[in-house]
Amino acid sequence: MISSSSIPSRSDRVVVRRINNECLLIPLTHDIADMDSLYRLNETAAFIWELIDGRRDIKEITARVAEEFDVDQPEAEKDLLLFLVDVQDFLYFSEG
Amino acid sequence: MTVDLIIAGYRIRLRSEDGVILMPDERFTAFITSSGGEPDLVIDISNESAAIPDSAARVFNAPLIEERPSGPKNTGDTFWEVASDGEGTYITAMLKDPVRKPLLVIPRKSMSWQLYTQIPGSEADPLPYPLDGLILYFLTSLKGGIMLHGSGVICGGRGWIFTGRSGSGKTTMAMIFDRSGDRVIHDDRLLIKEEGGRWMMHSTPVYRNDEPRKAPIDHLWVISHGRSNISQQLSGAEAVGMIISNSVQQNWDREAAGRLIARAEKLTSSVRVSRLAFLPDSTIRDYLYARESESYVIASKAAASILADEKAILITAGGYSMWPAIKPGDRIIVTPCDPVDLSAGDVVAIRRDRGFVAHRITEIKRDSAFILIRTRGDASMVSDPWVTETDLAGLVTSVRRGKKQLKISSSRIPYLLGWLLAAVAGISKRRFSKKS
Repeated sequence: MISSSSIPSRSDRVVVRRINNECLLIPLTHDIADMDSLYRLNETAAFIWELIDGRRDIKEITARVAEEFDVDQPEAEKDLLLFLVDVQDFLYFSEG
Repeated sequence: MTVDLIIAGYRIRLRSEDGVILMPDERFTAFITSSGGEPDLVIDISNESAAIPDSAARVFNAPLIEERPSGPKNTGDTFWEVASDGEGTYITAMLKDPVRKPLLVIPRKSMSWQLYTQIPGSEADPLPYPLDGLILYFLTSLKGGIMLHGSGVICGGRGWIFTGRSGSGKTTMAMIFDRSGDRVIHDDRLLIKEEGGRWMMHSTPVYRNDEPRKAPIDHLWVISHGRSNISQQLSGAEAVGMIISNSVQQNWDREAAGRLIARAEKLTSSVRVSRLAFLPDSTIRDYLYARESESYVIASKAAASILADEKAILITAGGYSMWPAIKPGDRIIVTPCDPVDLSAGDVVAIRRDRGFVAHRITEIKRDSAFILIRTRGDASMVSDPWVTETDLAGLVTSVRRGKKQLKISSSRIPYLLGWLLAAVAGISKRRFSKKS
């Protein structure tokens, strides 16, 4: 269960490269059948991805997103959680 | 015995122990060259048996896929697999005729590999399928290239690659250009690499008899079948992602995946990448030939110059993305405008892919320093990327359809035609009166 005190960390099962304002995520896989997915993070998602450092909890990341993109906290948290679900295969969570 | 092959500019030296005759499959015949020169790779061929060491862990598996009338079917059997440990990489393949399991050993950071063919006797096939393709993949990955699913042609002195998924039309494209007398480099798989500061495409002898062919690359098109010929230039992460998606890859190895992304990004810095929907007939050749020609570029620049001179231009629409407000063949009048006067609902021409795209403004962000504009085709499912006022060519003020002059509506007419992109098929040099 993810809560606002959960701390997301990036998994080592993905290779990431920043290209201009976006990021490409290439999942590392062991089966040729799983090689269809490649993720392109837009500017907002790339900003969030780079905030995921294994130290900040979701509350802190939400505050940074709200500040950077001038949105209120509930909206920022909703978008953040949707993003974290999208890329959950490349994250693991711990409790602070 | 020693046999040298040159594939895609790589010299591969095959060596066997005394008494073992190397018998490469005939598809390699045209790639065999005289010995000499420094090899990029040496493979020692042995007819002995060998197995993956116990210390190596399985890191990648490719199942055997059988082509059936109903489509490809995963048999559940392993076709080839890769294992790895600190010492190196080990690749085995299951071959049926005769039944055997050859082993390729790639010692870490070494370009001197070993192949155990597992066939006792005095003759050895040094490059059995699928190990031939795997050898080329690992060689390319280590030495600096990209293996791409794609056909390549030279048309009008320009090298074009058509890449895409199975069934996207790569072979169809090669046939269209072949029938027009253009040179086809390969119709299915290319090896691309940078040589002397220029990206080149090479043929590969993976599937059948072939001969070495190569050409410089000017444009890479990610193709799909469409209802008309429409291109859209890609950039940044989208362009890089498209190349990676269509390349031969084994993403179990972090270092190899990192190298692939870096190379694809470098490729996009000097080779244009575009999405291309096409009709499977000769019109696509005409479309690309005209679009890539100098006269098209000159006409585009002339149109931009006319607009900069505060005069309107007439251009011909070539896509469906603004259907039904603008239809293919409509001539649209683009008038210079002050970005400050624009509002959501206006249809504007944006400079893109050496031409223009006419789409409707959905959002404008104004700042003291700049104006950001977001557009979308009326029939498009997705918005265009944000652009700045410097990308703005002008305001679309009216549409000519046959003899009718239509005023363009200020709001989107709902019409879900799918995701199609507008493009400009041609540019008239006719001038209009000055903006009042």
